[in-house]
Amino acid sequence: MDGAFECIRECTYVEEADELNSLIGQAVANQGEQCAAGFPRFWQILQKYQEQSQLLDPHLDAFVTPLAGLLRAQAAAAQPSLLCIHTISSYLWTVASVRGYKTIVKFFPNEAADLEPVVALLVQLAAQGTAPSGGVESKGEGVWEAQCVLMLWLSQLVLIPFDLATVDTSLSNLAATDRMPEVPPVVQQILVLCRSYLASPGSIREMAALLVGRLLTRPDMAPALRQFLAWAHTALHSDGPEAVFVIPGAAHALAAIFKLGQRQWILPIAPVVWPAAAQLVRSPAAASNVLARKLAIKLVQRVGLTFLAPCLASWRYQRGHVSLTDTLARPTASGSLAAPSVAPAANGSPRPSGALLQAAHAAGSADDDAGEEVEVADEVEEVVEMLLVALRDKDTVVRWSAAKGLGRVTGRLPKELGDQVAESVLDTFAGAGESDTAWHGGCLALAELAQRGLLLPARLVATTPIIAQALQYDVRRGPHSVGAHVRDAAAYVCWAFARAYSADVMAGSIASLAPALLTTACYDREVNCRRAASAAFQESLGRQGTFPHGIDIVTAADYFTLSTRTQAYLTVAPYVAHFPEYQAALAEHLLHTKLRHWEQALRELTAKALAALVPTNLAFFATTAVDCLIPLCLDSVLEVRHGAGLGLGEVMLALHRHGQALSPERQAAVAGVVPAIEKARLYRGKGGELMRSAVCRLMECTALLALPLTPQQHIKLHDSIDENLRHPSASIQKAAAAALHAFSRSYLTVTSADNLKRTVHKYVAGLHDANVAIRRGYASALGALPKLLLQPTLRTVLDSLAGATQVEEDAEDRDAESRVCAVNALAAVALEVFGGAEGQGVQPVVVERIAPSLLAALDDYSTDNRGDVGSWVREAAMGALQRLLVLLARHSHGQEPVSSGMQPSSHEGEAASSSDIPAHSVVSAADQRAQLQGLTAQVTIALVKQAVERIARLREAAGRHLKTLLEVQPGLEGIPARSALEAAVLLEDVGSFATLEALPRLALLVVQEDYREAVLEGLAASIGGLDASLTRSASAALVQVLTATSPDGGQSSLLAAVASCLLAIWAHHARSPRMANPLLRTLDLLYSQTPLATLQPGSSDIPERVLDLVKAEVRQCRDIPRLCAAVNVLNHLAALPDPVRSAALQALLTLLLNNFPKVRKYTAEQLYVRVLSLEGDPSIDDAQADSLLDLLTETAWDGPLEVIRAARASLYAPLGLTQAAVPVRQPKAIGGADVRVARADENASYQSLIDNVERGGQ
Amino acid sequence: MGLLSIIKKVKQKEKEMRLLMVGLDNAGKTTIVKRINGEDITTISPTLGFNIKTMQFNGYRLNIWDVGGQKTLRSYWRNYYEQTDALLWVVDSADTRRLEDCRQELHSLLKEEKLAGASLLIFANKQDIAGALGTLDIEKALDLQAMGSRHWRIVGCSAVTGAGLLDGFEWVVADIRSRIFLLD
Repeated sequence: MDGAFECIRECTYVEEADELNSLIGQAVANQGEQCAAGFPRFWQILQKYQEQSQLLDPHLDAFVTPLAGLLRAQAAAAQPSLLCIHTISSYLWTVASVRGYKTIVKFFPNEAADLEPVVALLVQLAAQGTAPSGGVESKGEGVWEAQCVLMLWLSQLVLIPFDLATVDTSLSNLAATDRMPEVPPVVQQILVLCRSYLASPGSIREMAALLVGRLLTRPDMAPALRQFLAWAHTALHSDGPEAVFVIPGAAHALAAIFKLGQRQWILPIAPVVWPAAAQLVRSPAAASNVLARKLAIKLVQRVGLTFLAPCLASWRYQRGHVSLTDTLARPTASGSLAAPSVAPAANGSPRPSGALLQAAHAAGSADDDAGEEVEVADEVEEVVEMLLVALRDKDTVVRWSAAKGLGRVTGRLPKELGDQVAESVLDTFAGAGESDTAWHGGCLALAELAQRGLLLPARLVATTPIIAQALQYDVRRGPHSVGAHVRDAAAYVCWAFARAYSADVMAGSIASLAPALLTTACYDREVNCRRAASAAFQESLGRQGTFPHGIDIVTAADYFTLSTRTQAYLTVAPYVAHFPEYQAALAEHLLHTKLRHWEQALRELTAKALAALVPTNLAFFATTAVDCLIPLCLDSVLEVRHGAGLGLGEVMLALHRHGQALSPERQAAVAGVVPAIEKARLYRGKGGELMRSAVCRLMECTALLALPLTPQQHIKLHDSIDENLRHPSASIQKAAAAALHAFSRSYLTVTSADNLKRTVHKYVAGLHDANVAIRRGYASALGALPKLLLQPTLRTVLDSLAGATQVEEDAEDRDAESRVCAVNALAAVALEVFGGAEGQGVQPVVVERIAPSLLAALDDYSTDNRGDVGSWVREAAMGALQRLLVLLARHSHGQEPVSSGMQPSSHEGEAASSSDIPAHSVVSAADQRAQLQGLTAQVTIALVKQAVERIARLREAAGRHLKTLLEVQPGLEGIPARSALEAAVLLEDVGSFATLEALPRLALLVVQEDYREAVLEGLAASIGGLDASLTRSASAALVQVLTATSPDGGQSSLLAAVASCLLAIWAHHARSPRMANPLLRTLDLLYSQTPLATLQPGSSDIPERVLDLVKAEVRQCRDIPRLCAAVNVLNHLAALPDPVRSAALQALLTLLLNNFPKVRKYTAEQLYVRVLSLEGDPSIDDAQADSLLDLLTETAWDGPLEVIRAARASLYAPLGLTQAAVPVRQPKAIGGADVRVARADENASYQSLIDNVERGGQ
Repeated sequence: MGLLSIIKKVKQKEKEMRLLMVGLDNAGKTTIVKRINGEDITTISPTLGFNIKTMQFNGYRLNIWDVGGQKTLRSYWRNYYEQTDALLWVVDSADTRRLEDCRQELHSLLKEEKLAGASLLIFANKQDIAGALGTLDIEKALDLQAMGSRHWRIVGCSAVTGAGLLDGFEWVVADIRSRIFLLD
């Protein structure tokens, strides 16, 4: 419900009023016929106002009156149109259900004459409902709405102030001497209807209950009431299959009678109904039926109220309300305006009558009680008892009903009893074993009592701690916890208290409620609880006077700022905590409650939030908090030790950042935590992974602080990091790498042989381990090491990593994630070693040792059962290349030509710190520059290709990197056709690369020779992709570039260049499972949508080259989509002049004998189209063409091959071909696949399967 | 049903109206609130923070939020827990120098989306002081004709004597009723 509250846009008026009016106008004008079409729209508009239905009020008259008028006309008609009534009722009931029937019914006509026709109509509808045929008009739509609306109307009509006997026409025929029946027949009819509807599900039951309540509480209905009670008694005890409906119905009707009836009228029947009501509450029927239970509680409550005199308890607490009219006597003619100063005493003091009621404390009204002499029936005690029990009910609706009832009943009790009720409600919280439902019900009841002034101020002292506790109520249940509803209800109590009590009464409670409210506002897991607490705080502040810093807090912690958990935890809470009054409460809550929360993400956030609180009280965190957390790291409960580990790390880091050192004892204690965790074997078993990541972070923080370690601890920590580096989980590896990053910088500060052995050598050796986890982890580890350790064996490191970026030879060994780690590490190592100010010699290393493997990684299109896993490698490689280029650009500017070899490191010059990279000969500055430009061009072109490829994520990454490269300062040299690229890239938002909006601009780069191949290859991959919208966009982009008229008329030369480029790509990717189909489809596209066909065989070699390549693709191909694409291209080629035409036709005729029936059929269809287009062609006469067409259509091409072969033979001559003496192969069963081909095309077969599915099977 | 929906429901059931009392500092907002609340108005210091006062009027319960003269208390009128039904903008009619400030503040406040539907009552306060501008002059100075479709009314009043206050409240309550409690 809260969700709806938030997401529905608040309106201030009904925007569609005119439309609604016209829809209703149509319905009325058509007499309800043929207007069913307008109804869905009507319904849809009104749903919008579900949450703000009062906005409809100005229009209700215009909506309801005409509809109700039509209904009345129909009811009065001799032959009412049921269809019309159904339709009209649908409209009316929609309005009623949105705005509430009580409001709507006021607009219904209210004349005694309508009573009988409405009853008659209802009887008719009921009869129709039971008759299975249902009549011709009835389509079942609007039937129940019609019943509801008519019953609602009837509930209004029965209020007519005449004796119902007088309006009953059936009675007017009676002679004066006849005895009048006890109950008029019309009433009997109504009651029969009601009884049947009370036993049916749905809204009609509610209407029936309302009608019964209205009708039977009339003073002239005593006999009817007796009858009904007898029925109800039976109904409440029924146990047939209908019991589930009839029991709530009867209870509802009785509750309505007791609610609507005047007390003296229903008091006599209360003792009659009471036993049944009490019995119902305890009955098994109610136990299993929420609605029955709720209505039973409602009935009990109403009967209970009847037992009590309807008086407002004089003992209740009243804050006092001021009436404006009293305080502002209308200025008289004498005009107080003239009088500049008025004695404040005259205006300011309350009048004797007590316009300003001071809080009437219980003590002051004791005398009234004595005079009250209230007799409380024995049943009342039972009523209260039942309501108190129902407060603990497992269903919210029942608890709500009980809380309301308790408020109402208590309001009529004498002081002593009333106060006892309050005490009992407080007892609801007392038991340690009380469930969350008891807490929730208790909160609701407290709020209800407080609003009615029935919770006396004296009880507030005892109540406050309970509410403060309820505000934090959170009880673990299995893998999650319950309590959000309790916390929200507790905020409701606070809100109600703020409104109910005067500031001096609340003063004592505020001090403990305010920190609790703010804790919930900042740190609750649920957004509705945070907002509820904030709303309650605001209300308290406004009504209860000043909290410390209340204004600032209300401004900072409002509805919006608390809407996201992260912001509430990391921004709002630290602000609130910087006021000392609230600091302790917030910090303690995090330490003792939230850090052990059941949700992992929340514990992680809590650790950060704790760090954010550190500056508010350094001393507390450096002592108490750390002392509290250290032992918790070894706690037996997983959540506790995980949270504590995370929290400890973050707190220490934050303390360090704020210059607060830990005492040496505590430093030692923290250093001992990780070894202790390992010793306690907390890495193992359930939750071990969770602990690992927490411990990694703790080690990282320990290292960042450079806490002193004993030699054993040093070894333990390093071992622990290595172990976690080898862990299969990527997140743990990442955390371990981060820990290593800090650890190596703090503790491995010398380039000793031992350190090298323990790090670089070990990690390099692991790069080709059979265990992929080790490969991934150790590659990441190399990327995390400091220059100091990398330098001595830089060449080995780089070469090993470079090797690890390439697709492994042995398919068994392949692991994309390892390659991703290696790619990232390669860039990280280079940035670490050369990223410093000097960075000498970076360029040759990058150009010779790093870039080639990264560029090769950009061609990693490997796939496995997860799909295009190579894309992860490509993505990483793009980022790595971009970072390296930026680094190179930085160093190339203003640098002297230097020996490109590794200089011995400037410091020390020891052998250990020098690199193993051999010195190069001095390279001239010009050569260096050219080298860098060459690399830049390669990278840019590769990025452009990725920017038009199939995967949105990669397009976006490529776009982002291109932007970076274009914008880097000082500018990069060597970007080919820079201005064209800038035009394509810089104008676009990064997101538009992913959403394809950037595609047309990028496709324009085809014009640039440098980018032509890259763009074509990328676009071809996109055109042949699985995603239909991608295919469409890519095709459109390419066609547009190639068909746009250029000013220099170079279109045909561009087309030729593009075609020949495409063929070059094809030659490169010949028979590639990934590219063959895309390239065929691209050619098909170019032939069908661009003037590619103008490149004729004589003047250009393109068609012949295409033909050769297509024929090569078709040979032994087992991929149906690819074969079909080839057919398309061949078909285009067949339209060209000879010799290409004959060769293409020959190839097509060969395909007519393909092993796949689908391919044969497709080829025949395409040929048919081709022949059709030949009509009028001189090369073929009409008769021949006709016979060809007949042959093509009449042969079952997907049938047996023998038949087809004969049919095909007769195609040669008409097409002007001769059948080559091809050795006819024996047709094979499709299952007996050519094993050799199948292996080569391992992925393609899977690919074709997908293709087929995606395109709905061509 | 959480607290936020309870608040909405209570507001409708109890026929509550939320009135926001705003204006430049020293305009007399708190004096008006105290005056209608029947409290002593001889000693009033600048309001820090805000007060919510509840009053009965014509069968409605008015929750009057007296927000100090501080400019930055956005969160009061940007209150998403409840709808603001009316703005009571209080003007010091005798302080002609600050009328331009007053106009700017008012118009920037009214741009707030959350206040789009709220009725606007302008209290031209301190009419009892000699030299105070009349309502017509203030209407012009505040450029009230530019309000467009908003329901607004300017009423001259004196918080000290109480003159005009009832008129103002009568109008604003009637106006709100015509919008949101039409049928009660």
